[in-house]
Amino acid sequence: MIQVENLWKRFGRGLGGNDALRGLSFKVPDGSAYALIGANGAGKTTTIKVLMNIIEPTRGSATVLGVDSRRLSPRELAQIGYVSENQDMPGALTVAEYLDYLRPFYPTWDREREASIRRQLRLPPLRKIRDLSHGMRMKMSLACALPFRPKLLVLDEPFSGLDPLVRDEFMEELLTQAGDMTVLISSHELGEIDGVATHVAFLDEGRLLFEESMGDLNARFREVHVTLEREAALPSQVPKDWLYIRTAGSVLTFVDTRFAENGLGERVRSVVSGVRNIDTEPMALRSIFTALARAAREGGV
Amino acid sequence: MIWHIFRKDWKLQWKFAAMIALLQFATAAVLIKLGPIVDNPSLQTLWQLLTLATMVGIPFLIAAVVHQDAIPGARQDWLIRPIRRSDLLLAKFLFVLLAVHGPMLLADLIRGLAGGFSIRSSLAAAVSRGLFVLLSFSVPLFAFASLTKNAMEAIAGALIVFLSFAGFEMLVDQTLAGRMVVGSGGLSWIDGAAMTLAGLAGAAAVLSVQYFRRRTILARGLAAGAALLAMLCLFLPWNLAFAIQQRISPNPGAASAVAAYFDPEMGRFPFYRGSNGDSVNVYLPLRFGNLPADSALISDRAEIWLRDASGASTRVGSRSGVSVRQETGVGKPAAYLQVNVPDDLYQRLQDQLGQLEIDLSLTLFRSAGSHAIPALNGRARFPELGGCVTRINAAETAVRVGCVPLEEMPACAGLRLEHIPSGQVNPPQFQCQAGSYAPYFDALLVTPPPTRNVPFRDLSGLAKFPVDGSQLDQSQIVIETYKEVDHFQRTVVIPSTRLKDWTAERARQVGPPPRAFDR
Repeated sequence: MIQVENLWKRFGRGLGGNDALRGLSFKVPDGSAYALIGANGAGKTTTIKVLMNIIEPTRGSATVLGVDSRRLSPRELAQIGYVSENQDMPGALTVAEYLDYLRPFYPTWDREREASIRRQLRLPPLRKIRDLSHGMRMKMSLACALPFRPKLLVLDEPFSGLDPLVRDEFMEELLTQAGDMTVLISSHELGEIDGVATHVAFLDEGRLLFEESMGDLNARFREVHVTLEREAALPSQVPKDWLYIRTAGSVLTFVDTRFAENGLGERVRSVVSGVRNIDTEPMALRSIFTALARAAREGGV
Repeated sequence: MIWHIFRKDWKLQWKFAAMIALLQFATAAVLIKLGPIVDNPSLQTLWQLLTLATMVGIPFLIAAVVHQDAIPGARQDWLIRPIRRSDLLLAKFLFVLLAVHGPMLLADLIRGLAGGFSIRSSLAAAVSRGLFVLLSFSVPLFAFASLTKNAMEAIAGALIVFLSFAGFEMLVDQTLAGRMVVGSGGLSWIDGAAMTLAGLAGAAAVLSVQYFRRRTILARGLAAGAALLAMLCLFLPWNLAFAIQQRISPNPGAASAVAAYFDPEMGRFPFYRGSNGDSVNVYLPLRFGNLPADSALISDRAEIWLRDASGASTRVGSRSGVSVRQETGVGKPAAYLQVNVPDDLYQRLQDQLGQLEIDLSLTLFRSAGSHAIPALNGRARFPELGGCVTRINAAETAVRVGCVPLEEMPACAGLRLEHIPSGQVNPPQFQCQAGSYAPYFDALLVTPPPTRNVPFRDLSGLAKFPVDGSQLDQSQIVIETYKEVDHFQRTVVIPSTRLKDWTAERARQVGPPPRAFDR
C-alpha cells in the first residue's frame, strides 16, 4: 500500500538547514493498521506530508497506492482519507456545506454512510467550521475522510488535544468504519495505538529505529526483574539488547529487546552471577516506546 | 468541477463580490450623473473616492478568492482532496471573470447606453476595456495572489513590488531624464503594452508553476524576473517605439510630402514664459510645408543637438508638444519649438557657434468630421463625441464645451464660435492632447471627460472677439475632430547659430500659457 525508500527531507539551506527525515525506509502492508510513533519532531508529520504530496522529498522515493507520491493524482486521492490536526478547512462554511462541497469529488461517496458518521459523531450540520471546538474539528475531519470508503486512511496525530470522551468517540467511529482499509496513523499517544495498530514503526530524529508487527514486538520486549543473592550492581558488560538497566536493592531490572522464554536464564547468568530468581513482564507499547526513546537519546539504539 | 468550486468560492465571497460590484455600478452612476461638463466638486470627489475604493477592493477580492485555496503552505485542506489543479485554476479565473469583470462590463455597458450609444458599440467598448483591464491588471494580480498565503502576505508583497517599481522609476527619471525613452505621450501605450506582455508572460509562468507544480520559491523568482522585465520596458528606446508606431500607422506614407524647416524670418519668440529658475527656454522657429488641407500636425518628440565646429555633438534637450493646423491647401503653418535648456548647459553653450540639429518625430492628423452645437445651453449627440453640451462659464467669458465619448476624446480637436447670421467666427481654439495612439482602448479607469473653453470675452479688455456674449443665442460652436493618419520623422538643421540668439525677446511676468483643455 505504501512503500518508502531512503526518504530524506531537508528544510532550509546551508548551516541553518535541518534534515527532518534521514533515509527513512519502511513498508505498510495492505490491510494493516500501521503506526508511526516517535517523540515530537521525530519526523512523523513530515513523512505523512511527503506521502500525501503536500511537500516534496529532498531525496528518495515514496509510493502510495502504487504511485510515486509526487505524482498522486485525483484518482489516487479519491481513495485516500486524511485526518490531521494540521488541516485548515474553510472556516466560513458550515459542516453540511463543506460535506456538500466535498461529495462530488469522490465517486464512491456514500451518503448514508456520511449521515451515519455525522450522527455518530454528533456534528452540528449548521455550525460553521470555524466555530467548532478542536475536538469537533477533528471529528469533522474524520467525517470528511470516511464516507467514500477510502482504501487508505491516513491519520496524523488524530488524538492530539482531544479530551478522553471525544477521543473514545473518535476511536469508536474509526474502528467501526475501518473495515479492510489500510490505516497509517502517527501518534505519540501510545495508549491509543495500543490495541489498534497491527504494525509499528518507531521514528527518532528523522530515522527509523525499527518497524515491526505488534505481535512480534509484544513477543520480543519484556521487562525482566532479576533478584540476586546480594546487593545488585550494574554489570560491567551489558548485552546490546538490554535497555534501561537499573537496580533497586538486590533487584536488577532491564528491558530485554530479544526476549525468548527458553534461553533467558542462561543469558542472564552469563552476565550476572548469584541469580536467585528471574521474573518477566509483558510490556505495554508505552513502556517499550519509553525504553527505546531513552536508549536512543543515550545512543544505545 | 470548475463550476462546483466556483459555487463554493461564491458562497464564501459573495458579500465581498457584491460590494465590489456595487462600487463599480456606483462609480458608473456618478460618472453618468457628472455628465459632459464636470461642475459639481462634491460629485467629482465622490467619483474619486469610489474609484479608489474599487481599485483597492478589486485586488483584495481577487486575493481573497485565490487564498480560499491558497497554493503556498502545507495545511490547506484542498491539497489532500481529489481536485484537479486545472479545475481549481479555472474556477478561480471564472470567479475573477464573473465577480470582477462581469459587473465591470455591465457598468461600462450601462454607461455607454446612458450616453446614448447603441448596444453594439457600447458592448464593443465595454468588452475592449474589460479585456484590457483583465490582461493588464486582473491576471497579473491573480498570479501575484497565488504566490501568497493570506492577505497579510499579499499586502507585504504588494508593498515590496510597489516600492521596487517606484524606486526604479525614480532611478530611470533621474538617470535618463527622458533621454530617448518613450516616457509619456501618445506612444506611451507601447511601453505599457510591453509591460503588460511581460506581466502576462510572468503571470502565465507563475500560475502554471504554482497550480501545477506548487513551487512557490521558483514562482516567486519567476515573478521577480517578470517584474524586472516589466521595469526594463521603461527603457524602451524611443526610436524602436516610434518605428512600431509607424508600422501600424492607419495610412502610412500619407505624410511623405510634409516638410519641416527652420524659418529665421519668424524672428525670436516675443515673450519668455514658464521658466523654473534652473533652466533657460530657447524657442526655435519652425515651419511646416506641404501639409494637406484640413490636417494637423503634432511633434511627439523633438531631440535637439548642437554640433560644434569640430563635429562634436552636445544634446541640448528634448521636447514635445508643438502642434500646427492647416485649414486650407495654402499657407505653411509655423510654431515655436520651446526647449528647456538646463541653466549650466545653457551658460556653457549660449555663445557657441554651431549647427543645431532637431530630430522631429511627428504625427499627421486629418480632419475626421465637423459638428455644430448651439453655443447657448446646446445639447447634441455626435457618433464619435457622444452627448455634448455647451454652457457659459461662471465668469461669463467663455463657452464651456463638454462631450462624453464612449472611449477617448479625439487626440486633436479644433473649436470655434461662429455667429450663424453673419458668418463671423472667433479665432479657433485648436489643441492636440497627444492622447494615446493605442489601437485599443487602454484605459484602466474611465475618467470624467475633459471640458474645453471657447472664449468670447477678455476681462482685461485687451482682446476683442468678433462674436461676443450678446450674439451667443444666434451662435454655434463648431467642433472639428482629427484622427491620426501617419507617423513620420524629419530632421531640421539650423546651420551656424547660437542658442542665445533664440531666447525670448523679453520676459513676461505671467504663468504658463492658458490650456484649451482643462478638467
